[in-house]
This record gives sequence, structure tokens and C-alpha cells, in this order.
Amino acid sequence: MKTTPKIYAKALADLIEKNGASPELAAGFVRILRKNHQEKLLSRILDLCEKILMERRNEIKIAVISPRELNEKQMKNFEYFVRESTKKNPIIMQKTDKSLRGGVKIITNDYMIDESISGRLMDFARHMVKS
Amino acid sequence: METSMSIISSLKKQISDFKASAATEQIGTVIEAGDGVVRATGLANAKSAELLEFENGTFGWALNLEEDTVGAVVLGEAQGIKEGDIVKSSGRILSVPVGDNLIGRVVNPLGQPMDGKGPIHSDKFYPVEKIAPGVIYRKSVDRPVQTGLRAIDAMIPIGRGQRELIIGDRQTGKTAIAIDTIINQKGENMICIYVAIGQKESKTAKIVAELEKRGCMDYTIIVVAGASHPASLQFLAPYSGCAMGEYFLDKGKDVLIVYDDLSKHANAYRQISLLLRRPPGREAFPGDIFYLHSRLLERACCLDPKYGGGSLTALPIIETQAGDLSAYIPTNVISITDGQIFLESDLFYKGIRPAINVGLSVSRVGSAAQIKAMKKIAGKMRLELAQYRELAVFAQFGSDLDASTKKQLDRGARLTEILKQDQYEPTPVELQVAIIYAVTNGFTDDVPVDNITRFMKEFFKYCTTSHSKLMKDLRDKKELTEEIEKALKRAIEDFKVVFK
Repeated sequence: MKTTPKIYAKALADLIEKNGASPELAAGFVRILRKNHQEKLLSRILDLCEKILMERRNEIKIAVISPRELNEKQMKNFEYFVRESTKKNPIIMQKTDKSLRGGVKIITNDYMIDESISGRLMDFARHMVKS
Repeated sequence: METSMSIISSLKKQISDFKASAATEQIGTVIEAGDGVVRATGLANAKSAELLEFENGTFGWALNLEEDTVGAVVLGEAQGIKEGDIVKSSGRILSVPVGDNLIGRVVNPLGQPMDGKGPIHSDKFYPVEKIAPGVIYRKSVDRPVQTGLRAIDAMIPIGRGQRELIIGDRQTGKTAIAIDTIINQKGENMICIYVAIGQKESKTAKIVAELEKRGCMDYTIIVVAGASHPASLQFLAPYSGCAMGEYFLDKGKDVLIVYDDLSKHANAYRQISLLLRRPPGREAFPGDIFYLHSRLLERACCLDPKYGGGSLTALPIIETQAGDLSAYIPTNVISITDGQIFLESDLFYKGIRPAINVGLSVSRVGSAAQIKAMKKIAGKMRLELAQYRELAVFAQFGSDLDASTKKQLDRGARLTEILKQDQYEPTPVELQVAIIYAVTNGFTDDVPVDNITRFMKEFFKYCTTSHSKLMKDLRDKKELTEEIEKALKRAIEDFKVVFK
């Protein structure tokens, strides 16, 4: 049977939960992948493993992209808002992207909320072309 | 003419209509991009054939939905799409603009104009992939598509709603037959769609110019995915053309669609499939190559009057290599279609044009749609030509031939001559009936074979000028009644007196 990245990720997540992450575990896992000639799946497996672990630990990873760095108060407010609305512990990663011009873009798992100025302008351009 | 005030007010209205609202979008991340194919993770709810939007504004077409990735082809410029880019799910199934505004235009497979005649305003969209009408919506083919080509209309008749394959080697006149058929639809209340797949742009430009010159663009749409277009657009082109035709079909109109050619379409699909890592089969084509063409050609149909009564006639073209009909794609398409017109290089170089091999060409349903007059005389003609071909082979070995054999050979030679036809010179059906009647009934037996072409041309002129009423009766009644036959005989005899 073909071992899919999902199966690998689940196995790796189980091992990490049971024994904790260690260099030996990582080396052993890479050895298995190499033996099966599936090294190039590694990054996908790690992404999936991270998702599985987060789900089990009731965590949510959120990327907040803004043109300028958010201050401490804004971050705290945001964290509070996410915790209240999702009932999960947020792991917030902050990124800056000046091309957004203003507003904020929030990315979590497979979803994105685009509240940036550049996103709005793109929507506006699309609307004008369409109508 | 629009004034500046009206432009400003329409812009104001557009701006006021724009409602900015925060919405959650489903996204994925590009993990591989190259050769017009993209693989992305995420997009867990992506649908098959859904449109995906990349960061650079180009669209992709989701074709492979795998366990944790989505494989998509890029519909346009793939440059600028890189690993890590965000790809958005649009929630829309790929569809193309349809409507009357497309008539007379040259568009790409996404329905965008390519002729520099300005934007195409259309508020209706049809999905490119659609399940063909079912059995209860259909009725059998009963009306003819007059191609204007004597050899086809007499011996390989095509009906409205039929799928007739045009097959042959390169440079044998496949496109010429399709274009002549489009030209002959002038005034026939037929919408024509010519889909150029992987063709040279110069060839397509020549066709567009020719159709424009003859006023045929008034009822024609040209869909172009040229040789320089990505494989994704070449793959999409016939489905787009078909969707555009289905709009008119739904309105109860008759549509003729030419797919030029499906060999290149299969090659484009093979390229996409191999890049999407689908397992290759025979000739490296993927396993669903038969379904690729069958689902397209099944969309050609003749609808029951209860459901609008429209028809969609398909003329797919296949290019063979060195006359090999047993290759994978030709056999597939031959088995899907309702007959084929087989063109041969040898005949072409002998000067028999259209270079139709009458023995290998067949129309499985078209004879039901043939007009009665043509049906009456064509049966005799087919028999005489078959006998001529058989006798011609034996006649090569013997020098002394009896009178009846010689007569049959002469008759066959004359019939072969009248089936020769120049490009862009379609013959109206009543004239076709008149000349075939004259030859098969022995009226031209005393005309030397070398003079038959001249005889035919002058006879056509004579009929249209001196016997216009007879021709009109023949065209309207579509039948060789006793009265018409008598008048036709008289016309032929009168013409023979003046023909020198």
C-alpha cells in the first residue's frame, strides 16, 4: 500500500506526542523516508504533522500580515478576540508586508480574511471591470 | 455618442454599487509550479473543474483533486507564479461568455476578444463542461446540412445534429472542406463555430480573412487556441466552442461546429496529463483519452421539437500520419462519430479535389436527411462509381474491352470529373441534382471526358439564367416529381444543342 504524507504525518505526530521531539526521532524518520525514496515529501509531512498536533492540543496558528508591525496592545486585543471566538489557544505569527498599504490580512489553515487596502482595491478593480 | 456626463454618471453608479465587505476566502499554497501546471496544498473544499485565482491575477483550472493537494492547469501566463504563493478558490466552475454578441468575433477559449474589435458584452455564461442531452431530448437526424460539395452532398450526406469526422494526412484539404461548408451556410439559418486548436496563427488569420471577404462572419464565431497558446487553452478550446454553440442550440437554432483538429487537442491533453502525473497508457495518452472526445462529441445532437428543436452538428477533424487510420486517436474518434470523410494524399496529387476516398468514406445517419431528389439519383451514382472502380482495376490488365464495359468506364470517368470541385466554390443542391442527373442518365455520354468540367460549368450558368424557375421548384420541392424531371430532361437536351 502506498504510504501517503497524511499517514506519515499521523505516525510522526503520535511519536512526538508519546516520546517528545528528539534528534534521534528526526534522524530515524528521515532514514525511513530515504529508504522509501520519499524524501521530497518531508516538507508536506511536517506541515500536516504540525496541523495534527495543533488540533490535538487545541491550538490554532494564525498569521497576521500588516504593512506595519502591530503594537503590544493591538496584539493582545487580537489574541483575546481569537481565543474568545475560536475557543482555541492562538499561536500568532506576525509578518509585515508594505504592499498591503493599510489594514490587515489574517490567514489560518486554509482560510484567509483580507481586510487590507490592497485587497479592497483589487476587489474594486474587479468590480469595475465586471460591470 | 456617450457624453462625458453620462460616462461620469455611469462610473458614479458603478462606484456606488461596489459593496466592500469582509469575507472568508478559501486558500491554498503553491508547492510546485512549472510548464503551465501548478500543484497546491490546502483548498480542501475545491471542486473539480473549479477556477482558482493566483496572486498575479491569472486563473487556474483544478483538474486533479488528490488527498492533500490540488493539481491545476494555468489558463494563461504561468510566469510569475512561484512556490509559496497563495492560491484562492473562486467557487466558480469554469464558464465562458455566450450570446449573440459573439457572432462575427474571433475569441480565445475564455471568450476574450482577439480581433481588436473592442470588448464583448455578454451577461450570460455557460459552463464549458456539460453533460450531453439525454435520450428523451433527442430525435433522429432528418434535415440535411448542405456542404455545397458535390461529392459529399451526393454520397456522404451530413444531417443536422450528426457528427461527421473529416480525416486525412496533412495537406489533403481537411480544413478546406470545413470552410467550404461554413461558406455554404449563408442564408441557411445556421450559426457556425470554427474552433482552431494548435493551428498556425497565419492559417487562422487567412481563414478569418476569407470568411470576412465572403460575408460569412455574420453567422460565424471563431475560437482560437493557436500553436503559441498554452496547452491548457488548447485543451479548453473545443469545450468552450461547444458551450457557445449550446447557447444557440437551447434557443432552438441550428449550429455547425468545426473542431480543427482533435489530434492536436489530444496532444495538448497528453501534455497536461503527463505534467499532472497521471499514468500514461497507449502512445503515452492518459486512460481517459476516449472519454475526452466522446463527451465532447456526444454534445452534438438534434433536439426534439418539444425541447426547442435545435441541432448541433459537429465536424471534427483528425490528422493522420502517413494514412494510418489504425492509430489510437483516429480509431477512437472514428468509433465515436457517425461516419467519416477520408481524404487521401494520392488522390489530392492526382488532381481529384476534394480528395475524398469514396470507398472508405461513409455517413451512417446522413442518408435519412438527404433531400428526396438527391437520394433518388445518388443511389444510382454510388453504384456506378463502385462498378467503375472495380472495372478500372481489371481494365488495367486487358486492352480489348467490350462495349458495355467501356461504356461503364466512360460513365465512371465522367462522374469522377463532376465530383472535382475548386475551393470556395460551393454548388447549390438543385444544381448538384441537375448535373448528377445528366451524367447518370447518359445525357453526357457523347461529351468527351476532357470537356465534362466545362460542360458542367456552362450548364450551371445555363440553368441559373435560363431555367431559374425549374431550379427554384427543385430547391423548394426538394423532390424530382414527374413534372420537374420532364423539365430537367428538356433543359439538358436544350443545353446540349447550344454547347460546343
